[in-house]
Amino acid sequence: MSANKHEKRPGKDMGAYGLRGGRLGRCLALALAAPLALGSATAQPTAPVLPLPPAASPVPPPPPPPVEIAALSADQVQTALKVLAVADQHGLQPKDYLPAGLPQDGALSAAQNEALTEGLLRYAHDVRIGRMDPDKFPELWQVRPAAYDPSADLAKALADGRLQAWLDSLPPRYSGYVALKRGLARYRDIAAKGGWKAIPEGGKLELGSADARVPALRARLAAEDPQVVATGSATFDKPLEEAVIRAQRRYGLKPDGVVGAGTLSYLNQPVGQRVLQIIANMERWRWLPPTMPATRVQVNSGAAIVTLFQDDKPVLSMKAVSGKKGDETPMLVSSIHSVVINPPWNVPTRIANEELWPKERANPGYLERNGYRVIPVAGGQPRLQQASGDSSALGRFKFDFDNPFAVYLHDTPSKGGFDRYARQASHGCVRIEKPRALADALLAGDATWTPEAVDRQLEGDKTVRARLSKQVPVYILYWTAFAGADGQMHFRSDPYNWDRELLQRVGALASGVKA
Amino acid sequence: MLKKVLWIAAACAAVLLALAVSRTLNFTGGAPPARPVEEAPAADQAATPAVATNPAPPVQEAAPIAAPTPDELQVQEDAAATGMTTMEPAEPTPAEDPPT
Repeated sequence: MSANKHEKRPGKDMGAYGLRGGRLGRCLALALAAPLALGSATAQPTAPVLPLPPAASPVPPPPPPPVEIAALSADQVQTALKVLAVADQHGLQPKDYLPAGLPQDGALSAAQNEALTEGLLRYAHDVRIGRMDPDKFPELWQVRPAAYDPSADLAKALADGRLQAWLDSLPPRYSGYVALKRGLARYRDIAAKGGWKAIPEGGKLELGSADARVPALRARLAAEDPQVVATGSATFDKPLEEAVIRAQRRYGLKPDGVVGAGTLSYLNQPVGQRVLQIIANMERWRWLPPTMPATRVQVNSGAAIVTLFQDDKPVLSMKAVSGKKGDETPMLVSSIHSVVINPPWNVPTRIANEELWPKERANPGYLERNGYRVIPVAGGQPRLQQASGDSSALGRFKFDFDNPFAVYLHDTPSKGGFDRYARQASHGCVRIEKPRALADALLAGDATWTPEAVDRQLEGDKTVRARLSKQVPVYILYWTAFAGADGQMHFRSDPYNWDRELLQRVGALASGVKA
Repeated sequence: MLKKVLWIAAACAAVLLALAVSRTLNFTGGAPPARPVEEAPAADQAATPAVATNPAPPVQEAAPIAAPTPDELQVQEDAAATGMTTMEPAEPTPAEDPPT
């Protein structure tokens, strides 16, 4: 029995899961440093700080001793070949892992056995923590997996005769990932059957329309929606309208049942594009830790939705407004440590220079009318602060958590933004639709900050910081493909173009991934 | 008279023979064992008051599971949109033999 030696690959080690980078001031940067007029509640003992994921060490640790991996037995070879051949079920490419020229039957040579073992190691790494090279993570993608070298685990699995079980344990076990895996199979199946044909452009299609494009619309909807019959008349009837509404909900569009230019552009996305979108989202699932805390706030900046989980169950959700293109809300993990009631807004210099000072010059008195005051800074440019109150850009609540981008969740006086269906409009912070409900949920059980005490505080404009007795983890994520509660695949528009960027970085676009 | 006596004796002999044969064939061998006779409880057990044997409550039909409200449905939809982070159970894997 020969033995292959595999040294750990420092180059493949991902940076430690957590926060790296330091581009400050993307959003309302100075707000964290705001000189808050702290109320009596701030005398509460400081909440224990949840340990943040360890930052990457500037000095790499010495490489561990090489792990000795036994050669694969004949049964293990078959198991390996079977698993690697279906790596595409996870959005990976079998050719990246299966050595070329392996005999279909018969024993492998020592070199082939070693090459197959190398393929297993690459697969184990990629299916568990993804294909992104640590050096290729953009700064705004702070949700990153812990480094993983599968050598020791593979050696143990082989020795214990548990190769299949070990390989099965590697992909994420989250329902969201498993649903995407099912969706990937389904959309590939649609593609294998010829996909769907684009609906010709033209005027609006709505209830009662008699149009030669209606049969094409029926066929298009039937490709994704099992409730739709693919054939029918050229008249837009009620069942078709309901099918359009269901499709609009799946795409996060206004569910009005009218097929205009916007809905048409979503319907006309080719199925291969949807397959790639699913693969990109599966890749991001691999960056999450193996388990999540039972109580947490999850944000999807791609769909602009916030959900509070308690005991691992969603108990509160709301619309959000996330950063616009160019001011993207970063993907990150942190912990909400306090709720600021009546927060002032310390305007970041960039926003002051690019947006507010020009308005003041065009309309003298604009700043004063909107509650801004100019704070002189010794030896520097004066800064702007907007007073707390109903017209404050931060509304009545701000939810603070540590992060290198100075972004946070906050209320807003511009409630109309939540009525939109594409809600990427902020400077990077996350505006939330139900800040009071979230505050009440996070402060529940707090002897000081009862709902009545919060009510009293809201009667005035005095700023107070209510520290949470137990910090609540917050995950700001980016999903553009997910299975809805009905099991159907939902897609969003990739507002930050991060799906495409990710696919390019892992080579899924360049090498023509199987669609 | 003698003839009658002989007939009766022959009949009795036939019955006895049939019984003997049936015993040999063990017709009741596959039957469930007879229920043991319950012994009378010991004095101290007998003195223990019997467990209250209230009549069993009438079987009630299980209350129908309340359909989720529109708000609850919306929360579920939103939770799916923010990432379904519930855990899928691991699939059982057939045992493998360690390499020899």
